[in-house]
Amino acid sequence: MMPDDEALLRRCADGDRQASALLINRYSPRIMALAQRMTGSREDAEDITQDVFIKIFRQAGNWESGKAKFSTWVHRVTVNRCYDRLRKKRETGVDEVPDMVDDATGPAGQLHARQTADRVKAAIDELPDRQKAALILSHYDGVSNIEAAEILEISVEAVESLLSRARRALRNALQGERAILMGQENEWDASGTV
Amino acid sequence: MHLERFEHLVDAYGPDLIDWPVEDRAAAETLLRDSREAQDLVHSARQLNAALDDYQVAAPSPDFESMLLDMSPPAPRREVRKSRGFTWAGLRFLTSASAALACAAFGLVVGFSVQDAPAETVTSDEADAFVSVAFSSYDETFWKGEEG
Repeated sequence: MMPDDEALLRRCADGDRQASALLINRYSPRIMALAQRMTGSREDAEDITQDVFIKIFRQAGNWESGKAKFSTWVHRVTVNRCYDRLRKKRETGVDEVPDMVDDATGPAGQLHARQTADRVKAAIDELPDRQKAALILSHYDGVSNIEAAEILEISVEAVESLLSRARRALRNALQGERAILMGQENEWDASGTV
Repeated sequence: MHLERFEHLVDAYGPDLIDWPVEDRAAAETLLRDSREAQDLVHSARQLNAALDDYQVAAPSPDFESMLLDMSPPAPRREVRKSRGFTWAGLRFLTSASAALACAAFGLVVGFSVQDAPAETVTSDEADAFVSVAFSSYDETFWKGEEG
């Protein structure tokens, strides 16, 4: 049975390297993915992940059990770091292209997946920060709307509103990309038999 | 349930009604069964989700995770336990202290014995000889008996 987050934190604070490795293994992919989708940059995502882990390790010995869910706190710290980074990027006008994973098989599949990913990324990048955060937490991290509300420190209704606006914006942004997105236009236009 | 509310919930909770608030599910299922527009909205939401799924990002590299591990808190230093038993340092201290005490005691004994002893008797001839040597006036007649 895997130790829970709080047990790992206590061991981590005592200098247990194995516990620290487990914590990194458990959280670094989530933090990195969230940060990369938020900022659109691999380099920024690594910086943010590093910052978040510095904060985790500092907090490890002072974590108050039962006060907050550790994963919620980690997400909140990550999202706030992303907001800071996005604000700075807007001020400096820096933009980068992230590394993405090609998990489709064959050249045609890879090209299609890459094209879709590029367009989705571009559409997500255009979203306002809070809509972006709500969408990424909900879709990619599988966070419930209640937990997303805790992470973003807003009401559940506000999360619903952010998600609703984000998905509409994405649909509109990807409207002209149907054929590329779906591989075949007919599928997108097919009548919706659920 | 109105279609506007249905659309809002599709966008807020996704195309799977199981994820929707419990109080909205029954009405949503009814609308979905009867409304072509509602079915289109769910279909469209599924397609959007599929498109979003294509945007994957690479996991952290092993080197990066190793770097993170190097930032983790170090194990606290173990305190050296102070032994209350025998130590070589303690023995050396005791030896030195004993020697110092012995020297002090010996000095006191010698001091008192010298104080109590009768004054040393030095003949006037010997005293004269020392004075002579000191002032480089060597008297051969005095030393002759000793050397011869």
